[in-house]
Amino acid sequence: MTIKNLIICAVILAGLVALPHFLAFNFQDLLIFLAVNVLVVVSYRLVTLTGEWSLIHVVMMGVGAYTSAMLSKMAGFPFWVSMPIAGLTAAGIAALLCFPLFRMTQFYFLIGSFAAGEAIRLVWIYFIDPFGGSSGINNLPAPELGDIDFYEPIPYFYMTLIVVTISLFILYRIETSRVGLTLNAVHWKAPLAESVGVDTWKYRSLALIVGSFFVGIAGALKVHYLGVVTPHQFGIGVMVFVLIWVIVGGYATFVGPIIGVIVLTVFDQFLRASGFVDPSVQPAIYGAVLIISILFMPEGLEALPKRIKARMKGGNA
Amino acid sequence: MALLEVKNVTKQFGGLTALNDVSFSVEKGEIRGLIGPNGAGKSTMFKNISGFYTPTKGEVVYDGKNIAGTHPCKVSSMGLVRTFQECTLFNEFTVFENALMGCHMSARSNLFSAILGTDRQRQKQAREKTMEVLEFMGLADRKDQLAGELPLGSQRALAMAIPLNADPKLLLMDEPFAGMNPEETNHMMELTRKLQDKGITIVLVEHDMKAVMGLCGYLTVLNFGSLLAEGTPEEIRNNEKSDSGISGGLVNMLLTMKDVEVSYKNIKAVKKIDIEVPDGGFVTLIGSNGAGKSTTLRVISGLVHPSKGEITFEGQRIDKLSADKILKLGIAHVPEGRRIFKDLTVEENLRLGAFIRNDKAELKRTLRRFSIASRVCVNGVLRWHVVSGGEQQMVSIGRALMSRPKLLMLDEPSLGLAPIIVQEIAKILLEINARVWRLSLWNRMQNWLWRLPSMPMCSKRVLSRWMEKPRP
Repeated sequence: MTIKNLIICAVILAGLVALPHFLAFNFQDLLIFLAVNVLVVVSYRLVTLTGEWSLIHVVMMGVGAYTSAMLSKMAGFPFWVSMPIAGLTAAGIAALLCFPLFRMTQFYFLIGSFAAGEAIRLVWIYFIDPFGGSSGINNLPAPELGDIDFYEPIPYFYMTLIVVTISLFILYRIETSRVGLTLNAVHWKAPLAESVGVDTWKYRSLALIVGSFFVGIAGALKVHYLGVVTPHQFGIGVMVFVLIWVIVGGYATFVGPIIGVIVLTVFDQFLRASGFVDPSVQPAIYGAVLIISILFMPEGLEALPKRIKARMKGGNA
Repeated sequence: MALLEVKNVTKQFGGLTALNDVSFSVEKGEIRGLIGPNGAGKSTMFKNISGFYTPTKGEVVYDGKNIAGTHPCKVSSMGLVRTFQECTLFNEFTVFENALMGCHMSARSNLFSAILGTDRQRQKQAREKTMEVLEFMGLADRKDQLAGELPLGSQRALAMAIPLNADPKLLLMDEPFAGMNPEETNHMMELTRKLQDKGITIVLVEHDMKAVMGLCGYLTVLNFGSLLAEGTPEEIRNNEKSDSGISGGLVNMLLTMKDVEVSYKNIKAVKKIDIEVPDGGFVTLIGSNGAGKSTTLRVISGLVHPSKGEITFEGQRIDKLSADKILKLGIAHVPEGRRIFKDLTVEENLRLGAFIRNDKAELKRTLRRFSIASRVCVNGVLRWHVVSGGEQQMVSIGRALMSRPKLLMLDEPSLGLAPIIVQEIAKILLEINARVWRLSLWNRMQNWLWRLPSMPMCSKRVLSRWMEKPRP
């Protein structure tokens, strides 16, 4: 990271610290979910680095959420302990799933991961005893630390911001390190990577496990603010939103998915605020956005500045 | 002591036996050539050794251990590294990153050291080592370029740099000289010898006999999955049994014409034509006016049908097929005088050539590649008559290439063009022949072709016939 990047990061962070004080209450809520979603898409990008797109990511978020919810509600663990355990549990379940799932690649992997995710979700719905069935678990305790009131959005946002920032930093380190390079190598030419000694199975698994760890943490962050966890928060519909954020934002660089989730969330709020559109048609609009962006911006929003620059140059020449 | 011992390896795919009880051993420090005709099982042998296949029977003993059926990544971590037949690179990486991937075994880092940066020293060493390898391969000044954008020669060098950085003890090279011109081949041979000096044992599969004979101390010849002969290059050359095997492997006939005769009404335009076009070859038809050169091309592309004789293309009789079916088989014809659609734009003309294709995205890329190679602007609405003569010829060649032919036939591509443009077109033809599609080209170019400096590039594959047949 160069000094320039560091300064940019510092400015953004300072902006984020100040931001909630200028927003209305319901927007402060939104800011927390946005921060969580940023962690969801960035950890999903790590999984996609090896070229395998999974549909289990949001369910892994659920695994983290349920773990943290059950530990804090039933066993009385404080949030600060249950949150890391949530990540570890998600990672552990992902590690188990690697054995069947990475016998497949590409399309088969996609479908296989979807099936595995639905199986986990059905377990939550079917077994009412620990998981609470369709209605899930409610009245989750908020984190406790001194006399800070984490039922208020602003302290909770700051806590989320810290966790997400640390997570993003770690994910960034992984991606820019040799591990990240190897993950990309597995994606682009697996046989060539194997020919120099890369165990492709291991690296694919590694990406899924690490991605699941961070999304598990994201899940814990989300449900402890909401106070309730249900199986429907982690359905395939939510996964589709994650895909749309990543694709619209662009998945070639680290910041692409972040741009995607922010832009689309702001766009969504504008639609609501304008009052022209009924909330029930929201999925249709998202679908249209996806189609339009694939047609006109196949590389996502992140590539826009480059393309505009190229267009201007072309116009001058 | 033998570094690699292949013992009675048999590989069957269903009912097909690709390798039948093959045994040979490679001594430490030697360069061994594995030769034989196409389909002899050389690549299958490589895959069995490097772990991509598990032999049905037999053992592969490397460094005293049986490695048959071991996963490729384990095999390569033991120092047995392979290169790939096609130029296989991480095209999306820079040259440096490509080579850096090579030292995976010595410099891989685990998750925690990656996050905490505790292995900085080791990564630094890896980068220094990578730079050394790049310098050794002559790629140091290109290190920040994307691998996909390199010229072919550098790509081949990079494809060698990656396994080289993996500290191989035994290097399996799969056709390292394919598609190279003599200069590049010489350079590559030199590098291969330098690798030997570094103490690396090399086994190579190659069709370029000159390179094989020059490099290898000992040869193993395979044919139809069995061991045919072993010996020094001299012995192999003088061995009749292997001779037929080798020459059969070098020249795989794409098109054969047997005793073909064409009559226009009562006039016999051509008669008794026996021609063979080797796969990847470059055949020139020469003859005086009216000798029947154009007719020969027309009869192959199905515009006229022969009254006698047979024409086979890739083992299939085509003398009774219509022109459109022949095109679909992969024969494209550039007729004399360019024959273009004057009212269409360049792009539309090119797209017409791609009529039988329906892969839009790939087609777009092909168009762009054509535009770069020929320096003719494809985009936009350039009407035909604006384009110069040389460019017209290139576009008509390009149009024929759009259908992705296996055999490209050009009728007088030099007609009415300035010498400098002729040179340009010839250069492009040679390039097409050598690297992009490995087509067979069949020209009726006049003797200007022989004057070209770059001609020797394909001389080894040139097969020329003089057809001085007077009209009846």
